[in-house]
Amino acid sequence: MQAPELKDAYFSREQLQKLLEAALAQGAEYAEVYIESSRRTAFDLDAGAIKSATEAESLGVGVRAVVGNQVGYAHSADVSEAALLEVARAAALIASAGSPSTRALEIRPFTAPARYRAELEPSRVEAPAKAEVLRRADRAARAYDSRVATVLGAFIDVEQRVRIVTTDGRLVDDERTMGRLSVTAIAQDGSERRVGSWGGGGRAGLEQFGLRRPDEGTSRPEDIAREAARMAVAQLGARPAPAGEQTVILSPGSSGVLLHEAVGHGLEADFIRKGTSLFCDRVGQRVASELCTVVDDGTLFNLRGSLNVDDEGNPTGRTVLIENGILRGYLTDRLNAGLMKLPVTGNGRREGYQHAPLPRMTNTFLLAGKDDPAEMLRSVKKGLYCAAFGGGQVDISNGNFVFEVREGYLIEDGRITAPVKGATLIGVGPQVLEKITAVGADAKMDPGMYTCGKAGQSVPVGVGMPSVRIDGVTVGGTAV
Amino acid sequence: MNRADLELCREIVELAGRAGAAGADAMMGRGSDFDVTVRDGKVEEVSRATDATLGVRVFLEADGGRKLGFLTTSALPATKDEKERLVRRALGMAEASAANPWHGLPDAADTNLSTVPSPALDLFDPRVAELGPEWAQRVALQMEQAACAAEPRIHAFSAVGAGAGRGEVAYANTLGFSGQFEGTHVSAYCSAVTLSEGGRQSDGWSDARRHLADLMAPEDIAKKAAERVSRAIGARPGPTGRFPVIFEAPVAMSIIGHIAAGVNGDLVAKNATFLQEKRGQPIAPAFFQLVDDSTLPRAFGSVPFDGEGLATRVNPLVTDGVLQGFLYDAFTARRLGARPTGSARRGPSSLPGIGTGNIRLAPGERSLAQLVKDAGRGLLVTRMLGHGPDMVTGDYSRGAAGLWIEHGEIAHPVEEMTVAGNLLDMLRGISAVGADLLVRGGTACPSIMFGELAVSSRT
Repeated sequence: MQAPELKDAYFSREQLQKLLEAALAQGAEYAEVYIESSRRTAFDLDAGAIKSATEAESLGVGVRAVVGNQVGYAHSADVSEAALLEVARAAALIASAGSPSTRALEIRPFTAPARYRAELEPSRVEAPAKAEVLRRADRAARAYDSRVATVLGAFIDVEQRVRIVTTDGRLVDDERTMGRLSVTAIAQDGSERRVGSWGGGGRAGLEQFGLRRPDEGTSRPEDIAREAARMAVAQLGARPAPAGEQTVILSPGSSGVLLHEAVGHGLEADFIRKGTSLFCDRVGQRVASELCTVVDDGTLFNLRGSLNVDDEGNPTGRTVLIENGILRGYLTDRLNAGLMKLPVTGNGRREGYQHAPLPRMTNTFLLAGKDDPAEMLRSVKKGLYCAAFGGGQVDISNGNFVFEVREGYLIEDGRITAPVKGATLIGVGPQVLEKITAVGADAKMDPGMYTCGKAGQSVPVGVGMPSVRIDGVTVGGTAV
Repeated sequence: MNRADLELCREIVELAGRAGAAGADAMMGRGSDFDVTVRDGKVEEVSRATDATLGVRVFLEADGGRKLGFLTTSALPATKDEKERLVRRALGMAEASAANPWHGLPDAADTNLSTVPSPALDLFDPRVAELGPEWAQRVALQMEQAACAAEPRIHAFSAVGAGAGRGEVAYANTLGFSGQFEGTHVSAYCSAVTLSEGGRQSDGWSDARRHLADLMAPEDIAKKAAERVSRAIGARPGPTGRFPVIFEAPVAMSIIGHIAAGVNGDLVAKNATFLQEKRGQPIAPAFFQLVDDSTLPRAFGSVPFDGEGLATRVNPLVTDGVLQGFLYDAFTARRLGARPTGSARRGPSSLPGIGTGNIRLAPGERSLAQLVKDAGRGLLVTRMLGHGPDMVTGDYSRGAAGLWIEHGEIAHPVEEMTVAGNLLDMLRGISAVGADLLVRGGTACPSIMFGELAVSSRT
C-alpha cells in the first residue's frame, strides 16, 4: 500500500496560495503550509515469533504564521478545503494589529538536493517478507550463545512525503524513506541476567536490511542481532562500576551521544536567543580541548539524521560548531536565524504536521584525530572503557549532562579487563570536552539507532565519534 | 459526544466479523486543544490542534491460535467501501504475523464486569471546554510577572504557558461491548532560568488537571518555580560516598513509576523485569503502600473501561511492603495463566499495552523538613537527568542535582552528581516516606528517603 498521494486535487497551486493568503490576512510577515503524509509498518518479535503487525497512515496539514518573534501554529488531520482554511485563519490570529500583506505571492518549485535513495521501497514489499527480518534476527541472536535466553525485536519502516509551501515563494516536495531494526537480547547464567541492545538503519529502502539479497545491506539483521547477543553475554559476571572521577576511553561510534548532549543541544539557536543556554555569547571562545572539531552535517548520504531539506524547506548543510576547541556557531531555523541575524543552517526540524519546527541536530560528530586507538588504551593505567552507549540527557542552563554506558569494562594497566555494570556518566559540557586528551584516527558514525527528543517532539538523528580519551569524568557507579 | 464515532466503531467490527475475523475491536479518538506561551510580556506562540484517529485491531483464526493485525489511520473512512478496505488491510497485516494461543479479545468470563458509568468519574469539566487562548495568555502572563517579582535573578524562561483541551474516545468490540467517554484537561507551567556569577540554573513548576477548579493558582505555580530555581543558585558538586538520600516528591514519582513499569505482565512473560518472581514477597518496608486506581473521580489516569473494553478497577501493587501481583491484559493473562486486571491502555493509534491508571504511594507522617533533619548528612535530590534503571536487572544510576544536607539542615545546592544502586536493594532500604503528597498527572507520591545510596561526584 502506497503512502497517500499528495494529490493536486487536494492541494492545487491555487488552494495553497489561498491558504497562505489566509495565514497572512491578519498582518503576519511570513507563513508556511506543511503537508505531510506518512505510512509506517511495524513488526514486533517476542518468543521467537512475530507477535503483531501494525500499519499506520496519516495525512495532515500544519500552518504557521510568524510576526516578529511571535508564532501562530495550527494543524488538522481534516484536509477538506473548509477545514484547512479554518486552520490557516487560526494560525493567522497571532498577528492582530497589522494590516494584511498586499504583495503578490509567486510560488516557484524548488528542487531539493538528493541525500538519500531508497532502492527497495517499503511499499513494494509484502508484509510477510518484512516480518522475515525479525525472524532472521531471532535465529542469529539465539545461535550466538546458548545463554541467550530471550530475544526481543522491533522492525519499523516509514515512508513520509512532505510538501512545504512558504510565503517566500518556495514550494518543495521531499520523499523520505527510512527503516530501523532494534534487537534486545537477555543472557541468563544461573540467576544472573544481562541485557544487550543494538539497532541500525538509515534513510534508505529495505535493501539496507538485506531484503533484496540476504548477503547485502548496511544493517543486516544477523549483524545487529549478534551484536545485541554479544553485548548481553559479555556482561555476564559484571562487577559494580566504580564511583567518582575516572579516566575513560570512549569507543568509536555511538559515544557520539556525548557530543549530542554535552554541546549539541546547548548550541540550538532557540535556546541561545532566549538566553537559557550556557553557550550564550560564547562564539569565538574556547569551549573544548583544541583536539575537538565538532560538526553537524545533514547532507551525509543515507544516514538516519540526514535530510534533503529541513522541515521549513531549506537545504541542510554542514555546520562547524566547534573548531579546534573554539565555538564557531549555532544551529538555526528560519525564525531564530532571522531574529539573531545569523545564517540559516537548515536545521529547522519537526516530528510531523502536528508541530511547529525547532532548531534541531541532524548528524553530529567529532572529526577524526591522529591518535592510535590501541596506543590510547595502553596509556591508561586505571580507568573505564565505554564500549556502547544508551541515551543521554542535558540541562542546557548549567550544562550538566549524562550519558548512559550500556557496556563498560575496567581498564587495568592499559588493558581491558572485567565487565562492569552499566552506569551513568555525568559532567558539564565544556569542562568534559576540555579534558579530552587524545582523539583517535578511527572516526565512525553510530549504526543509525538514535532518536532525539525536544519539547515533546522526536526526530531521528545520527551521532559519531572516533575513540576518545577523557582525563576525568564522573562515573555514577556503586563501588564507592 | 460524537455519536457517529461509536456507530463507526460498531460498524467496523461488524464488517471485520463478516470478513472472517475471529474477533476485532475498533477505537476512535478525537480531540482539540490549544496552548499559549509568552515571553517578555508578550505572546510567543499560540498553537491549536484538532485530531481524529481510528484504530482497528483484528484477529485471524490460524493453526496454533490466532494472528494479530492492526491498522490506524487519520483518513477516516466515510463510505462502506472505504470501511471494508480498511478492514481488509488490517486482516492483511494479521496474515503477516505468527499465530499464537494467547491472542484474542478478553475471555467471555472476564467481560461481564460492569463498567463505571463515565459521569461518575467526572472527567469532563464544561468550564475547561469553554476556555480559549485568551485565558491561557492571561494565565501565562500572570505567571511570568509573578515569577520575576519573586526572584529578580530570573534571566529568562525556558517556557511559561498554559493550555487546555478536550478529548473523547469511542470503542466497540465483537464481544458486544461498546462504550464512549470524554474528558477535559487544563495545564499551566513555568520554567525559569537564573543568571548569576556562578552561571545559569533552571527549574520550574507545573500543574495539570481535568477540572479548572482543581488547577493550582497561576501565582502559586510561578512562586513555586521561582523558589525552586532560587535555591539552585550557586550549586557545586558535593562529596562522593554512601549517604542517606531523599528524593523530593517530584523526583520520587519516578521511583514508583519504575515499580509500576516493573509489574507489567508483558515484561514478566518476557522474563524482563527486575520484579520477576517477587510476587508475594516483601520488596519494601512494611509501611510502603502502593495502589493503582483507575476509578478515581477527576483523576488523570481514570478511564471507565480499559483498552479492550474491560471494567477498570483498583489494583493494589504493594501492600505492607509485599508485592501483590502483576498487571495483565487479555494476551498476557492467557500467556501466564492469570486473569486480566483491566490494565490494557491504548490510544486509537496504538495496540493495547499494559499500563497503570492513577498510582498512589500512601504518605507517611513526617514532613520533608523532618526527613532532612533525620538524614543528618546526605543528599536531597530535587532534579534528575537520565532515563532510569535497567528494567531487567534493576541496576540504577542517574544524574542528580539538589541540596546537600549537613547536621540535619540544608547546607548548599549541589549539581553534577549521580545516585546509584539496584532498585531491589533501594526499595528494601527505604527508611521513610514523607507526608508531602504531590499529585501530578496520574501519579500521587510523597518524598522518599533511602537509608543509604551510592553518591558519586568529582570531589
